[in-house]
Amino acid sequence: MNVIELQSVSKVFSIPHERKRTLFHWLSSLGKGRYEFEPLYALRDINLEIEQGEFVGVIGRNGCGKSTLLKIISRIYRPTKGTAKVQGSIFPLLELGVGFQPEFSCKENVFLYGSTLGFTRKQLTARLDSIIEFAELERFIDAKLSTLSTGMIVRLAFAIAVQSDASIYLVDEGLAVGDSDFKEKCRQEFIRMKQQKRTMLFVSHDMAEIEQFCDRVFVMENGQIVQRGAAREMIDFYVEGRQSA
Amino acid sequence: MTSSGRFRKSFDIVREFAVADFRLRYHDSLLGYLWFLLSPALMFGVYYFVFTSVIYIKIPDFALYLILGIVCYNFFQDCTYSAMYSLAAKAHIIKKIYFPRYLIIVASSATAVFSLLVNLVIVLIAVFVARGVPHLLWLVPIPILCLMFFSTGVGFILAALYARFRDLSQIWGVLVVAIFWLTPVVYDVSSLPESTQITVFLNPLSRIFMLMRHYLLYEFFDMQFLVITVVSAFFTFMIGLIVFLRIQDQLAEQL
Repeated sequence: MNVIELQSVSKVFSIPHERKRTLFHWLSSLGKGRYEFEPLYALRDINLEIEQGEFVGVIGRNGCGKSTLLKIISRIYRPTKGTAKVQGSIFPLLELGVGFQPEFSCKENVFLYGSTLGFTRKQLTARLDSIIEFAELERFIDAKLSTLSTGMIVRLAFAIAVQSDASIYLVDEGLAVGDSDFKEKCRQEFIRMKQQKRTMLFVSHDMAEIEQFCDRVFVMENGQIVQRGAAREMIDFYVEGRQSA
Repeated sequence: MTSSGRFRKSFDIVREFAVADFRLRYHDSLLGYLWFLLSPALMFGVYYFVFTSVIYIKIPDFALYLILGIVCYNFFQDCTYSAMYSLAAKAHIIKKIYFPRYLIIVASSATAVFSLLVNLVIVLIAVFVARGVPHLLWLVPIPILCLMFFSTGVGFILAALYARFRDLSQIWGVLVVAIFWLTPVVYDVSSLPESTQITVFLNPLSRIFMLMRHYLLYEFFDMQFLVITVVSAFFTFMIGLIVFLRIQDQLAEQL
């Protein structure tokens, strides 16, 4: 069963030559006819199907459209053309800890961040202990987030994320967190998710991670998927392509 | 997902955002929380002084009349401003996580509603002490709801426009003052010349203020006035909501 299906999806951003951010600008330009802008094709005619339980990696250079692709699937962006169909609940892990409030305690941030991510208060109350335990922050549960180290904050965010029941995970550079012990724990979580037949779309620049987890890999270039196939071959293709370029 | 589950999630997002906004705004301190009581009280002091000592306004129970107007206008101003800024303040979340965007505006309104209700309780106590319990007290929730819906509707429109036009905050700063004087906050409509009265009546906010005073201070009931007020407030809310829902999917790109 396909849980993600994209049919000829394109995403065009218009980069205005002269950006009009104010009403005053806009009014003063009304008489001059339509203002010019340059279309930027972030995605061109993307077709893809992902089945339930698949771990799919996306690799490509900066600005090739990887993140835009994840944003289309997670509904943050609307496609300019084409359709994106998703079956099941999505958990977007595009950036860890978005919306964390440094002034609030760990516990309060679990509720704030968690509810933005689609948990109910009840679920969070029930899972608070396991979240704090996973993040290894028992001693800091009532400490302000601003007193914690960056690594600790990221750990907290990741601990909330792994508590989700979502069937589809979208991960943008997700594993680059914490020290090596914590990384190992995250790896275990990924393996658990895979056993639970959850689906993951995984953007990374870490080829070792991609090879370890992904069943299939898409190579992107200039907003297009230029090659798709088994992880090892795709990584070789991508690395060679980069060396020859 | 069931619709009750979806409602639960939406409700929890609104609650988390509203509580967080409130705490951040008042810096989590007791003195901070006192500010939202103090600022209408101080405004009241200024206007009361001006309109009893400098310019004389002949309205019975002017103090109650004035404080009620100021508390309600304070809410309108607070609600619309915070709605306008709320999207930009949450831009980083909007760009990374999908959830229905209108919840942000609902949350910012909820924060303002909380201050309004606390303020109104104090005004009500003052009314009870000065004049006893009004007979039409049970009708007072109607103008309060109208005020909430109207202000939130305006907030939706402002938020939608502010995502595109950043100078809206300056424009709205002027408009808020203009609307203040177009609304009977410090004066009474009957004191205006007939030709000017119509402009005040066309303003839905004026009607809400008058309705509030009808029930709380004047023991006056007029069905037609009530219906027009409720309809105009609700209509404004619906327009705001529809406009917002139309643009909410583009917000991640515009902000």
